Amino acid sequence: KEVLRLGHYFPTEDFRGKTAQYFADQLNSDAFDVKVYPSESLVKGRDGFMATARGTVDIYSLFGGYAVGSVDLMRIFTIPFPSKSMTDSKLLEFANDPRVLDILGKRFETSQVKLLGFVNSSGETTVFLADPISSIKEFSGKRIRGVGGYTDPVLQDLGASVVFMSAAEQFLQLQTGGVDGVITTNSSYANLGLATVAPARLERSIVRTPYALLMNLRKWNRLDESEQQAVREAVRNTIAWSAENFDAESERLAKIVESQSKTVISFKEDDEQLINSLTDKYMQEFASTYGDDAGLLVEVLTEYNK
Amino acid sequence: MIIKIIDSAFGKVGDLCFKISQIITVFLVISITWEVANRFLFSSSSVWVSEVSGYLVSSILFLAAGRVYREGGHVSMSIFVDMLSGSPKLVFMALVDLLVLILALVVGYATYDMALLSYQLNWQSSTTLGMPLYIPQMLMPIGSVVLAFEALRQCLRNISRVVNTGQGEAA
Amino acid sequence: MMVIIVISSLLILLALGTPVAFSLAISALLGIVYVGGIEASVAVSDIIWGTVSEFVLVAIPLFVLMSEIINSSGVGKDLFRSVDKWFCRLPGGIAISAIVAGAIFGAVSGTAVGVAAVIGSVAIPEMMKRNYSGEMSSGTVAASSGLGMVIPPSLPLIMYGVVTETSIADLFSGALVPGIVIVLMMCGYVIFVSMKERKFHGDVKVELHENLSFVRSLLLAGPVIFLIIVVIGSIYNGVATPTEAAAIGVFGALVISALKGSLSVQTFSQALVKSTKTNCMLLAILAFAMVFSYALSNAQVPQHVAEMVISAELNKWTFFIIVMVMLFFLGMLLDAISLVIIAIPIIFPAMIAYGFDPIWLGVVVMVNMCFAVITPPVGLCLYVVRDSVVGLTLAQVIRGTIPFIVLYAVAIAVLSVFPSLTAIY
Ligand code: NA
Ligand code: NA
Repeated sequence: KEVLRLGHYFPTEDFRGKTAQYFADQLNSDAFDVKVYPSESLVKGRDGFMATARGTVDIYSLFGGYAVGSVDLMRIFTIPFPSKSMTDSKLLEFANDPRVLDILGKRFETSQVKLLGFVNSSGETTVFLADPISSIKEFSGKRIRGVGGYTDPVLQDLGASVVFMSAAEQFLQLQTGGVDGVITTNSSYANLGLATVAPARLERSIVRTPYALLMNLRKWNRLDESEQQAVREAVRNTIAWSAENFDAESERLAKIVESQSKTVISFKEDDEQLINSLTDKYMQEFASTYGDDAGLLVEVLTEYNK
Repeated sequence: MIIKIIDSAFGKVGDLCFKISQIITVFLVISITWEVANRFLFSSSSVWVSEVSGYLVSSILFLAAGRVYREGGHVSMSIFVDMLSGSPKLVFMALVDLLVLILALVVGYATYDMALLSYQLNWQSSTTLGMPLYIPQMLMPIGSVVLAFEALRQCLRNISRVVNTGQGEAA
Repeated sequence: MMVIIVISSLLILLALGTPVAFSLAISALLGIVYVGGIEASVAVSDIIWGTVSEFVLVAIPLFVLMSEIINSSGVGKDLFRSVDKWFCRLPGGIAISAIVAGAIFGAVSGTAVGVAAVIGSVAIPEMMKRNYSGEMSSGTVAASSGLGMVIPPSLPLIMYGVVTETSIADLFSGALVPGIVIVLMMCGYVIFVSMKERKFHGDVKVELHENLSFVRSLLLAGPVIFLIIVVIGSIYNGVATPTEAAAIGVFGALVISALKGSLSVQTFSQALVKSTKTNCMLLAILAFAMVFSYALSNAQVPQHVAEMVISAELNKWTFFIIVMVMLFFLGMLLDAISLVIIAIPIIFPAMIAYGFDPIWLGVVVMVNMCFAVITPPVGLCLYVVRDSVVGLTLAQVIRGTIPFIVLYAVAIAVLSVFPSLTAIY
């Protein structure tokens, strides 16, 4: 029986934790024994990519933002202010488009990692602030916790300085004034009780990033054809299950965030224009920096944005 | 003679690394205090302080490990070994040195392998800083090698004391 | 089988006198290789890198440096003299002074051993001069030397926060009141014993104070107390994170040392050398303990332990007592910080599953760690206290600590009955 160690960031009862468990249940059979390590109990999320590449863990459900330092094309998922039509299920569709998987898969393989597919979305991820602002131009001079990729230079374009910290530090940093705001997910906002220290939020997502299911490439190559088939099948089922159930989860979180946060910072017309120009800017920058493959990814993304 | 020169050269390398480790500690104090002061006075913060100081913690550990081992600074439970004396005690001490030597080589290889991979694949931190990871990671194999040399020196020293004194009274 | 290999090799290596950090690493490697073959051993680097490249950890070298600077400035003796000035009129006054000075000095001094050495060398001779028994004198000092681990800032508490990912700021503010309560309990015990035996009445007029005015005593003790207030206050008021507070603390320590006239390039570089050694040793234990914990997690040992505990259907408090007793016995063999790093990752998930609060648990574990520094065979403070005065025997010191061991156990019970003592205000 092939033992597969599957690590992830979330507690078992979290939706993304449940997704990982669903995948394990799908795969457990005569051929596989999947051991799940929730809450970073084997390997930390930040180190998930490297640890998978080196076989310290066999499979990891990795936040896409943690891969951009190793696989530059993953920046496609950090292009700021995704269009309003880009819901979580739409994002999963885009990320799992065969053309996208093909291009990204090749890049992952050069880092000794097999990209199995994208099983989750970060959900609504936006800027939460200690003090409300009336326009995004007021980001100027503020210190904001960044999440990597293009969201960092975008904040800098808006005149903010970017601070780097783990999810766990956000509360204290907001409280101490170490930062004026944080980019974080609705789920972190609710779970960490950030509302008391960051009552204002942007009306719309600044970024939406998928979670990649990664496997150590050597381990993958050691599987025979039927075993690989079984893994693919389990991934397909998991994606379908996740897409089906994520909307309810998103809605639940959105309700919590809505009730806890005090101020919603809505965009005026010139804000909208600025945002669109920034989206375009980074779309182009991405396409021109990372070659033909990047151009192709942008084409596919534009298709899904319609 | 040559052995003595090599031996003292390795000792010097160990001392140098230990010095660097001290400098890093001072650097941490200054940069973090600077960060706090900056926030108060100018209400600005930097991108690199928290990330870089995190990396530096690992170099304090690795660069100092050799010299600290030489001076017996790593806590150990010596009650049983202390009951012995003379040659038997020295033999046990040499055995421990040997085990530490092997460990340092394994850790050195594993961390070297990691830094090399980070270098070859151009892995960077996923932050704005985009720090090439092999730079801070490289210090780990370097420190491990220094530790390995210190363990080897101690081991040879303990063995030679057993051989030279016959009964090892010098212990 | 893998567990047997790992645990037995660890015990053998420790007995051989292999440094704790390396014993953990070697036994963990044996376990990793046993399960995954030679190639699995490269995992060591991922775990070490993931563990020791974190910003929160920067607090450790900074707090250690702060306490080394404080230790080298000779503040410990002054502190005892000042505190004694305040408490000498109470029954058992000088013992109370030793406890309070030990707690204050311990709060900023990183190690219990440092407290035992400094306070022991001043307080014990003085107490014996005033007809306290060797047991009472040495036991009081040895037992109170660990209080600094409960009273923030506290390195073992930072370690607990790091391995359990609990907020260090919350742990610090949760531990403050319990720390003070334990000091009061100890003082209460001393007063009770003194009143009962009546023989310590009137040890008031003592030569020590003749040239120490009250104002001067404040000036001597003030800076250390001020430093504690600055460090804890800046975290508590949300001005700084624990790591930043540690950097501020280093500067504060330098200022105190300069004001006392004991700061020089030489004393600073001595403090730096000492703290670098301590840091290297602590971080090595932390890094390799995480490798050890990876080896066990890899084989799902913590999960199986949790399952076993759950299927045994133990009562919440029965389980708690088992854990506390286990920590007590492990504390005989290991020092406090290693113990936190090694044992907590294994028991923490099960404790949380039973519904214990992580902050409260952290504080209770710290109280338990106070046992570890005074229980033989590896109870460093026992030896330090014995060696601080000529003629004391180890047996005397151990007998002297027994009532305080009971007191610490009572403190754990008190915290269990009144968990709100660790509430964060
Ligand atoms: Na303390
Ligand atoms: Na002990």
